[in-house]
Amino acid sequence: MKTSPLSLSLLGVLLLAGCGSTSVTTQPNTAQSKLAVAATFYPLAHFAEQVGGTNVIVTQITPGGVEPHDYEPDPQELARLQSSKVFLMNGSGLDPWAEKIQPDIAAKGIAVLSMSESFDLLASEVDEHEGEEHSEEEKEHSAFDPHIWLDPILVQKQVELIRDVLTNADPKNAQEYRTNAEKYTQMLIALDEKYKQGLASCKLRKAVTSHNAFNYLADRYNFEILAISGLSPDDEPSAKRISEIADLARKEEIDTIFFETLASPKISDTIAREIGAKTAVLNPIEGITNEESQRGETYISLMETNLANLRTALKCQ
Amino acid sequence: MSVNASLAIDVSHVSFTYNSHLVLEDVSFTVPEGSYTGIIGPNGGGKSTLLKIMLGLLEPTEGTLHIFGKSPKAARKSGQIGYVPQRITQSDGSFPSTVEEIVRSGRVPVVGMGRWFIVEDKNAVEKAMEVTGILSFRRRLIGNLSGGERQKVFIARALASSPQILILDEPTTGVDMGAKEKFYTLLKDLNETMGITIIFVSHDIEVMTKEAKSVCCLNQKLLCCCSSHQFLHDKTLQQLYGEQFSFIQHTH
Amino acid sequence: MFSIFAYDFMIRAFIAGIATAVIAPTIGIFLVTRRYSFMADTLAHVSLAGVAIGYLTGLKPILTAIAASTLAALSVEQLRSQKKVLGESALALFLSGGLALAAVLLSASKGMNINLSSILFGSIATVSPSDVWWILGLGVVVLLTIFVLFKELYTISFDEELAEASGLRVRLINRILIVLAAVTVALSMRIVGVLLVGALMVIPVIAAMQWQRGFAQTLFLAIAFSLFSVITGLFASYYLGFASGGTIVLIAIGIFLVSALIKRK
Repeated sequence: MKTSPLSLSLLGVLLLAGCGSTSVTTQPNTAQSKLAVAATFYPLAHFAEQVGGTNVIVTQITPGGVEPHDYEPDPQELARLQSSKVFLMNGSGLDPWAEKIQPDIAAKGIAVLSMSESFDLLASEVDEHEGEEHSEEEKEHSAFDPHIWLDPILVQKQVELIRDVLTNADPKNAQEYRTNAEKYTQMLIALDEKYKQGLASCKLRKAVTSHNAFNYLADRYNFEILAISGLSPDDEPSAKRISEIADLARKEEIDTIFFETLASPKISDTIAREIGAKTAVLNPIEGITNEESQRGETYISLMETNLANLRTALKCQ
Repeated sequence: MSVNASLAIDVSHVSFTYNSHLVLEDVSFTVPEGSYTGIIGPNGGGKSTLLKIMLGLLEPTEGTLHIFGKSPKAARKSGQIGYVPQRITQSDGSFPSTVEEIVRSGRVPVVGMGRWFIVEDKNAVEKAMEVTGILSFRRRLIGNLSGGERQKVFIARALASSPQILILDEPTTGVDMGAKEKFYTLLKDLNETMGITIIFVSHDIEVMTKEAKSVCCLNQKLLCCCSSHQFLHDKTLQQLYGEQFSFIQHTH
Repeated sequence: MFSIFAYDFMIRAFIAGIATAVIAPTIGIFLVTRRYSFMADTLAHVSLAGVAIGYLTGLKPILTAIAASTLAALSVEQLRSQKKVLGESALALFLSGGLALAAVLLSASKGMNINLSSILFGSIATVSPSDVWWILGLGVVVLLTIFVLFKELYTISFDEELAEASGLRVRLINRILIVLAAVTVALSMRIVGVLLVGALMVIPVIAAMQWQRGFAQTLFLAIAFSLFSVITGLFASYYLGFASGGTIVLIAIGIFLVSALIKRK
């Protein structure tokens, strides 16, 4: 077979790409090497670490401090991804780039776990966002709400699924995965209890946040979220919507307007200033900032902070 | 060397070199106040360079040039020089401006930066328009005027600063015969009635001899500065334009 | 209909918008008549890089935007007056250079809370009180300077060589104008956005020029068109939820088309 110049150059490119990546593991071949797991964003990476323990090495693809909706991994990262054994993603518009490459990854024999495929998702409330401006970025306008990791009960199920996929990929450590998952599930159950108690008797049952990440949380603990933007923090709300929210907040006697650490607080500031409210953080935990990780914050600790802030905003006993 | 303040223009041994190319060579002549002088010469002979030196846009490499005893820049600042260009940059007439606005802009150097037009300034502008006969189209747009009308506007503009000298560069390029005549009548009037010294640069030998009272011939060197009458009959023209030159005179 | 004014943030938006509407064409007329219409766009792209620098360094973005575009403006003017590069080509250098630098800087600052769409297309909902003070303050400075130097600016715009021959300090005044343009661009970015700043500076002017009036009248007409575009644009943006910058510029273009149609010979 004659090798055409084209295939030679393609080969050359592939070789170079291979040489260019500074991946940690290329061919795990000994029993000592850890299971390579890639997760699209912080919560999944964190849960994987909790379940996997010392047997896994987890790569979080969206870096700290970056919005996963926006993120575009560069070719080097995608190449590194190829050498993982397990790929954890959320789907449903949160990590659109992952949805695009999902079939390719699966075809390579990497175990893919897409969370949104494993749950009954809430429909995204499209009618609420009538007349909103959409960001110029191409956003996958999913019909479903992807923010499932903010409900501790749903996270328990995610932990189970992660345990299972790790066990399939690495059966010899099955026992450890089971133990770790059990331990973490206990923490999640405790978290759920705290929320149940904490939000049991509150004066208000409505909270205003910048983007609508909290439907699952709100459903679980029986309060209502009024979101300024839509499902993505990039949605710049129309001025009309802002004034509507301001009016509503005033009427409901809401005196805290939530914003989040990974997006611009300007809109929340505007509304807060308009009605004389204060602002506070309600963290959708789509990522973790460098400061937060330096402080040793985790999913659970951030959820606990969210609870405290919610209790203040909703004026709970 | 004493500076004679009564001389409108005093050119003394002016040379100008540009990129080691000698454009003007030891040019000396004087223009008394109130005279009507033409400068003629072939292209590349240094006419526009001399003009730029007179306007203070260029400095001579050697020699001096004084206008009423001052440097050209100083004379310019006090509004003593009025300049009428050959054509303006925006000659397609799309610049949105009325005639009056353009004439007023001629007064701007006199008014000074950061100051406003006072009564004296406004009167000077009115007078300039009156003298050039353009009061009737003061509100018309420059783009809607004919070539001849436009030239009048530029003269008015030059006159707005109440200058003592009017320097004109190829003033009747692109102007039809009838307008040309009116134009030179106006210049004559300005010269004789208002005592304004006129310097104009032109190719047009006929105009030169008919209108100017004295003519300076410039081809890198000053070939002559003489009365226009003399100019016709001397060998100067041949010197100026070369041996093949022969002169055909028309009389109307 | 006027419930819109019950909201402080909308009042701020209108104040900033009106200030922008007045300043933009006032500078614009001097750019358009000198065939430098793309200068505004160029400065806007450089301002974007300036904003990115602001976010990266923690300095106030509006100030770094002004600094960046002023620097670019003076450099372009320098190149132009020395005739080193033809007018348009000089602008092309800075236009693409500014945008390229902005792209690189913004990608480097991915971890920060920048709302890119409001920077590019304008945002009426996020005009802070301090924004209003900056816009009003600098706006007054720009207008005052234009007012004081009006006759010189006019004369130079009409014919630069003639102005120089008249003894005006052309280079100084050109530099002042270009700095004012840089400041105007940075201020106008808030309401109209980086991509459309140039349009607000240029389109009301060319619409006004359709009416074949003298210079001063053309300027006043341009300001009137610009005010109309901004005010109706803000109303439309509020009630219909469209991007403020786009709405305003579309209205301005509409005015131009109507003017051209009415005045066609």
